Amino acid sequence: MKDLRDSKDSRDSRDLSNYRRIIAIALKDLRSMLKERTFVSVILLLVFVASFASVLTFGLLVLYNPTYLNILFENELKVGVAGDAPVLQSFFDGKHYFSIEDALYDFYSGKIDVVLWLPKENLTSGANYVKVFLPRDEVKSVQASIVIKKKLLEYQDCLRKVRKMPVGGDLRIYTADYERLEIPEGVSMVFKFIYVVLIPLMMITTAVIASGLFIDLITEERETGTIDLLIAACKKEEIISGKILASILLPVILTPIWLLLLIMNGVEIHNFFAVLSISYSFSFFMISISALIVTFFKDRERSQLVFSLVTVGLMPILFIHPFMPSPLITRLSAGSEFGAELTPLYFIISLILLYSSKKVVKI
Amino acid sequence: MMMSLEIQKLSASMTGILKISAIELKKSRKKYSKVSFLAIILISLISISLLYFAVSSGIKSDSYLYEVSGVQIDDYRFVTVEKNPDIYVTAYRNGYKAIVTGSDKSLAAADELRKIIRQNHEIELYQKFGTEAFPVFVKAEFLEREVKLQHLNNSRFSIPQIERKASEIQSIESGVSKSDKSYRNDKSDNPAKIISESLKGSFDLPIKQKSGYTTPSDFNPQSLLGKMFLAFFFIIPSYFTIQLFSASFLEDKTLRRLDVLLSTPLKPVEIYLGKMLPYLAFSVFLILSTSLILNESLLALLFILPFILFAFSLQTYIVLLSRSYKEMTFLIMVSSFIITAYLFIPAIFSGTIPVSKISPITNMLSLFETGRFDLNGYILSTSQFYILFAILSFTSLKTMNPEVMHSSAGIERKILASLQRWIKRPVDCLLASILAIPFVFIVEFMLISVIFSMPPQYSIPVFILAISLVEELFKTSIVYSAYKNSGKIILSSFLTALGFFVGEKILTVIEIGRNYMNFLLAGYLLLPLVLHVISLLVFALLVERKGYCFAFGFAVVVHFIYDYGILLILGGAGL
Repeated sequence: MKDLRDSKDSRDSRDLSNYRRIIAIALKDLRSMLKERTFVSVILLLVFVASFASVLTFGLLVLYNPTYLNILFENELKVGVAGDAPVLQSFFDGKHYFSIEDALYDFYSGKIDVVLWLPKENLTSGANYVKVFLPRDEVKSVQASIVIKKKLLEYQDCLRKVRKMPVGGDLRIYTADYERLEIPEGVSMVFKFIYVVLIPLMMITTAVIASGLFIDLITEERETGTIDLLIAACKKEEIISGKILASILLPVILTPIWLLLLIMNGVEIHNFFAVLSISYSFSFFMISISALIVTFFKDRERSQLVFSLVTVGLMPILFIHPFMPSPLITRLSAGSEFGAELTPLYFIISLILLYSSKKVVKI
Repeated sequence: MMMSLEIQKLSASMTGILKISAIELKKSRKKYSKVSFLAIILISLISISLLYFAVSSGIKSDSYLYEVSGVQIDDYRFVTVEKNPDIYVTAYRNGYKAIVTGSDKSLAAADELRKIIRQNHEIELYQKFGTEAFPVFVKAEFLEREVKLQHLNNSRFSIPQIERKASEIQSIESGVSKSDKSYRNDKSDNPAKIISESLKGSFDLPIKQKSGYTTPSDFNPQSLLGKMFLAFFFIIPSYFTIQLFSASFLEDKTLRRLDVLLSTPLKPVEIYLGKMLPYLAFSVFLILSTSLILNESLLALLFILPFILFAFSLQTYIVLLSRSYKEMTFLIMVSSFIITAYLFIPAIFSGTIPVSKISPITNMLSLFETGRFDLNGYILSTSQFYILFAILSFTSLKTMNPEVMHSSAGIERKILASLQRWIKRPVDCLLASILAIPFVFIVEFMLISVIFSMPPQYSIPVFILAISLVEELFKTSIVYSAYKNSGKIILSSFLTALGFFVGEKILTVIEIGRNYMNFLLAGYLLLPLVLHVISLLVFALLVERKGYCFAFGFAVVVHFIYDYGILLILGGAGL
C-alpha cells in the first residue's frame, strides 16, 4: 500500500516537473518575443489589416453609395441634356441643347459637368439609348454618375407608368412605434464590412500569425542547433508542448484584445464567449496544420512556403458554407444564433487536433 | 584602354553574379528533393483547385445573417424565426412593409430586403412585358478635360485652355458625327442580353464595368475595380518567390554562410544580385505566364517588375536587420501588408481622382482596358519603386557586414547603424534627405489612408502629429548618423533641412505631388525650409546633452506646433 502511494507521489512530482519544463520553454519564447517587440509588430499588423479593410469599404461607399455619407452634391452639379428628349430633360434642372456639339463645347469650357445625349425620345414603345459624357479622372464624375443613375431610374419608372405597367417593388420601412423611416442606401454595406469582412479577417490574421510563429519556433531551434541543448535538458515531447503553448498563448491574448478594441470603437459584439471560442478553435486548427507541415518539410524555407500555399487555398473555403468558421463568427458576433450549437464541437475538435499534433511533430 | 578595363571589370562582376546564382540553384536543388518538390507542386495544385472551387461556388459568408418573421424571404441571407426577429415583414398592394427594431443589423436587413424586392419586381416585369419593361439603356463615355488647380478644392478652367480646346472641339464634333453612326450601331446591342445580364448580376458587388449599354440600375461610376482581381494574380505568385528568397537569405545569414562569402574576393553587390537573380528570373517567368494565361498584354511585366524589385530589396534589408526568424517573419508580414496596400489603395479610386495614377496597378489596368500605353503615367507610377529599390539595395549592401547584421541590438539601433555606414559627412545628409522623400511619401500616404477613416474632429490633429513623427524620424536619423561619424551637428542639420526642402520641391514638379504637398502645407515658398531648420536645430541642441529620444521628441513637438499653428492661421484667413 505504502509502495503504491510512493509510486503515485513520484508520478505526481514527475508530472509537475514536466509541466514546469513545458511552461519554462513557452516562457523562454514569449520573453524573446517581448524583447524583440514581436507583439508590437503583431498589433501593428492587426491595426493595418483593419484600417486597410476600412479604407477599401470607405472607397466602395464613396464610389457607389455617396448618399450614405451625405456627400452627394446634386445642386452643385451642372447637367446638360442634348437632343429631342423633353421628358428626360424634365428630370434635370440643367440647360437644354439641340445639338451635341454645343453641349460638348460647354462641357469643355467647364460650364457644365456632364452631358446626356438622347437624339429622339421613344415614349410609348421601344428603347431609349442615353449616352452620358462624363469628365475623366474627376471626383465630379463619381457624383454625376450617382445623380444620373437616380434620375434615370425615376425616368424609367415614369416611362413604365406611361406604358401602363404595374407599380411595385416598394418597401416601406417603419420603426417599432410604426413611424415611417427612411434609411439611406448602403447601410448594409457598412454593417457587412464590420461583421462579414473585418471580424473574420481578424480571426484569420490571428490564426495565421500564431501558426507562422509555431513554424519559426520549431525551425529556428532546429536550424541554429539549439534544439540539441534543449533535448539535453527536456524531453522532446515537452519541447513541442512548450512551443505549442507559446503559439496558442498568442491568439489567446490577441483575440480578446481585438474584440475589446472593436467594442471600444462602438461595434456591438454579441455572444462574446462563443465568438472567442470560434476564433480560438480556428487558431488551434491552423497551428495543428503548421505542426503537420513542419514535421514533413523540416526547414523554415519550405515549411513557410507550404504553409502560405495551404493558407491561400484554405481561406476562400472558409467563406463558402454557412457552417464554416467565417460565416459562423459573422452570425454569432452580429447576434444571429443559426448554427451556434457547432461552437463547442469546433472547440473540442481543435483541441483534439492540437493534442494529436503534439504526438505528430518530430524534432 | 580604359574602356577595355571597364569591360573586363564588368565581365568579372557578371561571372561573380552567375557563380553565386549557380550556388543558390544548387542549394535549392539539394533542399527540394524530388519528393518534396512533387509534394509542393501537389499542394499548389490542390490550393488552386480549392480557390477555383470556392470562387465558382460563390462566397456566402453572410448566410442566414438576418432573422425575419412574417413573410418568408427566399434568399440565403434571411432565416425565418419566431421570436425576436431583426425585421417583421408584411405584404401590401404595391410591395411590402417592414418593421425594424432600430439596431444596425435590422437597418441592414431592411436595406438588403429593399434590393431583393426591387430585383424581384424587375424580373416579374420582364417576364410579363419582355424588353418593353426596360425603356431606358445608358452608356457612359469619359472625356479628358484639363482642370487648373488653384487651391485644394477650388477648380477653374483657364481661358487659354478653352481657346486651345476650341480647335479640339472641332475634331470632337466630327468624332461625334462618327459616333452618331456608332450610336445607331450601339442600338443594335441586344436589349434582352443587357437585361438578362443586369438581372443576373444585381446581387453582385458593383465592381463590374460594362463596356456597352446597361440598364440604369446597373449604371455605376467609372472604375477599374472589376479588373483589380487580375492585378492580384500578377502580384501574389511573385510573393511566394520573394518569400523563398528571403528565407534562403536568412538561412545563409544565420548559418554564417554569408560571412564566408563576404570574406571571398566577391563584392557584396555580386553576392546580393547573384542570390536574387534566380528568384527574380522566376518572378519574371510567373508574371509573363500570368499575362499569357489571362490573355492580357505582356507589358504587364513593366508595371509589376519595379514593385517586385522594391519588395526584394525591402526583404533583404529586413533579413539583414532581424535578430531571429520570428522577428523577420513579423517584420516581413507588416511591411508586405503595408506596401501591398500602398500599391492597391490608390487603384481603388482609379478614374475618379488623379492620385490614383500614382499606383502602377491603375496604369496597368488602364492598359488592359484601353490597350494604350501611357508613358507619362508609367514613369510617374514606377519611378518611385525603382528609386526605393536602389536606395534599399545600397543600404543593404552597406549593412552586409558581420558587425551590423549579427548584432543583438534592437531594430532601431541597427537601422541607425546601417545609415551610419554610408552617411558619414555632413554633405551626405543633403543627398540622403532628398532620397528619403519617396519613403516619407509612402509612409505619409498610408497614414492619410488610415487616419481619414477616423472621426473628423480627431483626424486633423492626429494626422499632423503623425506627419511630424514621420518627418522628424527620417530627418533626425540622417542628422544623427552624420553627427556620429563627423561630429558636425549644426552643418548636418542645416544640410538635412535643405535636402528635405529640395526633395519636397522636386515632388511639387509633378501634379499629384503638388496636390499632396498643398495638403501637407508644404507648398508655401520658403516656409517649409524654416520649419525644417528650426526643428533640426532644436534636435541638434538637445541631442548631445539629453540623448536621441529626448531630442527627437522635442523636434516632433516643435514640428507639430508649427504645422498646427499654420493650419489655424490659414483656417482663420479663410484660405
